[in-house]
Amino acid sequence: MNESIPTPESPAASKTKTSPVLIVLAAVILLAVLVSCFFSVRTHRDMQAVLEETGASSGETREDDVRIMGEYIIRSTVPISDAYKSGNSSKLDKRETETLEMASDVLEEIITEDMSDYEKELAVYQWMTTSLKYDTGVLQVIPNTEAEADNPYGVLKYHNAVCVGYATTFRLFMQMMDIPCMVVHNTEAYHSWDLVQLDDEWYHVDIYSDQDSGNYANFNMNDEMCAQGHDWDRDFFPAAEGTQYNYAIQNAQAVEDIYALPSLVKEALEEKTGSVFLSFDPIDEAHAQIVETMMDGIRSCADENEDYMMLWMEWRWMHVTGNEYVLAVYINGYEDEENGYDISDEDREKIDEAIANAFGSSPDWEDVDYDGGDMAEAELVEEAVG
Amino acid sequence: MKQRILSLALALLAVTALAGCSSGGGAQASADMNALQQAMLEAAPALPDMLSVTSDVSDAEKLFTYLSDFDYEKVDGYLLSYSSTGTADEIAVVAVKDEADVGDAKASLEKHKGDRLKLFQTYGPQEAARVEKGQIFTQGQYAVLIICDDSDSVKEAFASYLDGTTKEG
Repeated sequence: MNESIPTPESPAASKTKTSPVLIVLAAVILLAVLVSCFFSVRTHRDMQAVLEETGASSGETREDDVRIMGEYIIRSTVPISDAYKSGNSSKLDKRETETLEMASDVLEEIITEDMSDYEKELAVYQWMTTSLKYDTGVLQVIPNTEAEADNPYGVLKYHNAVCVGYATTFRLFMQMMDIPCMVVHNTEAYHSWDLVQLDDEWYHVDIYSDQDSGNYANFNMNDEMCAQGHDWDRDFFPAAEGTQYNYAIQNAQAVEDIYALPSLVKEALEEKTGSVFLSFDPIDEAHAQIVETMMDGIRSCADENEDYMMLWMEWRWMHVTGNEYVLAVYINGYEDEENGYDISDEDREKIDEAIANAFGSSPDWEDVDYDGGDMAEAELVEEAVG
Repeated sequence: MKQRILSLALALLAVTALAGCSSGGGAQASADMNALQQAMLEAAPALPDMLSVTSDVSDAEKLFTYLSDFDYEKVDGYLLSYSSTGTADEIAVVAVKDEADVGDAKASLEKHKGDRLKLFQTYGPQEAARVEKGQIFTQGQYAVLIICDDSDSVKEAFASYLDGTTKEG
């Protein structure tokens, strides 16, 4: 019986003793599992921090610290605009100071003291649509945008922006001039634009969407107009109900005879105008249907016309008051816009002659790929070097 | 007995640890995704400058998430070509390991197309119309998305390539 109960010193006991190699192996694997768990927990916490930072976890709408397209963050620039207004930039860091200098230079160039708030806003819109270019990398399936395209520092330095860059830079300009302005984002957080207040009324301004055309299609819209292409949290952002400063309404041409519409649109096409604003006061539903039918016919004819078939035309009604409506017609895709060059026929002939003298033949301009240097970029390089 | 229990525990730990570290990579596509991609791109000469990735690249699993929310563990291989110029042009093929999952892969491409449509409705309405015309279909273990003006030619190139490889194989 005694033999069946092994003692620590007995051979049976030595058989069940655990190998030191196995213990070390177990310890190593346990350590690995613990480390793996630690990093999993940490990663989870980091993710939570990002969600909390962007407000995604709480579900509450906010203006700033919102992540757009999972990548671009809307950040406040109030310290910079406050420094501009107070004339005291001592609390700004180097990057903020540089942003303030660049923004101040722009305002000095385009703003005069006698301008109204609306004229100041319009001047900033026009400067931004002509001086900046949008970063199409944001539209790629795998987004690839230039660095700093989402904030005023990068936008003003490199003149390249995604929607967040346009929205935050526009807000910076407005706040520097003491014009109330907010950055809005859509409910699915993949686009952002601005709300600006003029004479106690709010207006939507989406400069990014107008960048290609500069045709004021998204300039000073009320909620009704804006809702045709945007969706946002109306409980959080203030209502925009005014029409007084809408660009189309301000610049609409009164139409007495609705059948003058085709010739007015043709005129705009010939002059390569990006937009036509026509005021009908009053117009009833039956006549509105005639206008819409004419517009469908005009677009069909333009599509068949060799000179206009590459253009893209859209229109929308804007309600002013009572039975007064404005028809806004937007035309995009003019050749000069696409190529980025505005060459006269005379200059084109000189170019042909010069190239023919050197190479024996002139290029077929239909097939030319316009991707040459950009003088604006050259100036930036010069600044950096200098 | 104790040794057996310890060995079993060690084995379980090892399996658990290895499962935790596994990235699920290393799957082989039924078709050569690079060759298929080339064949499909060549069928549409009017495409703009395109950027391309396939399941052969080192960060293929991460890049796949831009195209699809389908479980990458079930993917045998994929190809994705997309416009670098801000237009909607896009060609994608997802090969699943189990043909029974191809419907889910197709559904993920439908969702991707819907997301692209929303994006272009905001940023470039003229491109949104092109996205709407995009084709999504399945063939065998493959779910395919084609958004371009020559989509019929690209679809034909896809079918021809598979037909050729099937006959050869």
